[in-house]
Amino acid sequence: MNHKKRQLLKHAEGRSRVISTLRITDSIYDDMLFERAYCHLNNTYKDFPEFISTLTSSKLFWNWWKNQYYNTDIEFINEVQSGNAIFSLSKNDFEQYYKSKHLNKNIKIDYYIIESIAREQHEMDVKEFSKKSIIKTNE
Amino acid sequence: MNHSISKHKQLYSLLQKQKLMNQRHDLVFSFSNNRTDNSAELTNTEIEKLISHLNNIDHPSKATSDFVQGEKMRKRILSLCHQYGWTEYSHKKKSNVVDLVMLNNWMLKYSFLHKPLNEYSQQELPALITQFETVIKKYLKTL
Repeated sequence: MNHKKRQLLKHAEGRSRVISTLRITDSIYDDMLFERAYCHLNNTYKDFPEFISTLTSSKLFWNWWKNQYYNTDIEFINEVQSGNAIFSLSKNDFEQYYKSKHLNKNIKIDYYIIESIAREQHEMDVKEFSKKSIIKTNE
Repeated sequence: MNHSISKHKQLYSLLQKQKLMNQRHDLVFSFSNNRTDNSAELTNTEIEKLISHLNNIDHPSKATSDFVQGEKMRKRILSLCHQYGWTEYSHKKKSNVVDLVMLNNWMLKYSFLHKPLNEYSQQELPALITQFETVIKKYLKTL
């Protein structure tokens, strides 16, 4: 099995264990993942809404984000498995604990990710510009 | 402790002499092949290598700056390993840590000079970082 397949399997397993541990639905899980991303971006780049929109329209960003998120999930699952006292928390508190685990994680978007996304965006802009120029010339 | 007290004392007196006290954790981390940053956990062979390294430093300030630069880049590689998913959960640290077996296997097989991370010099490390970033970008794009 190659690295990509192994990782996808690990992430899927982590995700389903979080869902069953917190007794939540798939859509609530997805909401938490996206909410955390937007919360992080709005806190970090609050004065740059266009930049946030560029990042969030990139597949590379989301794959990177999910990777980070799933890594924290794996820590959470291991913590639960090791019989930590959080086990005795109520469903609501347990969910809050899970959210705070993600919230307290110091995530920084690496410059090489930003650079790649900026390059992707530039290439798209150039394509769009060329398309418009061709249409204009034909008119 | 995995070595004698006299060697431990010798190490600390050399760290003091070479003005490397603040970098001791990084040095220990590097000489234990990224296993620990606690000098008490160094094996006999590891502490001897570190002592010999400290004894051979002619120009402490240059050696320190080279070492610190190199360590920064090695830490960058380790941070990239987290992004690539080469991690395992450490019950001791209660967090994900880099899977060094996986990293070392990759280093020997695919890194551009086919040698362990600690053997890459400060001059060679930037190219290794670029290689790592390219691999991760490719991986993230195809997920």
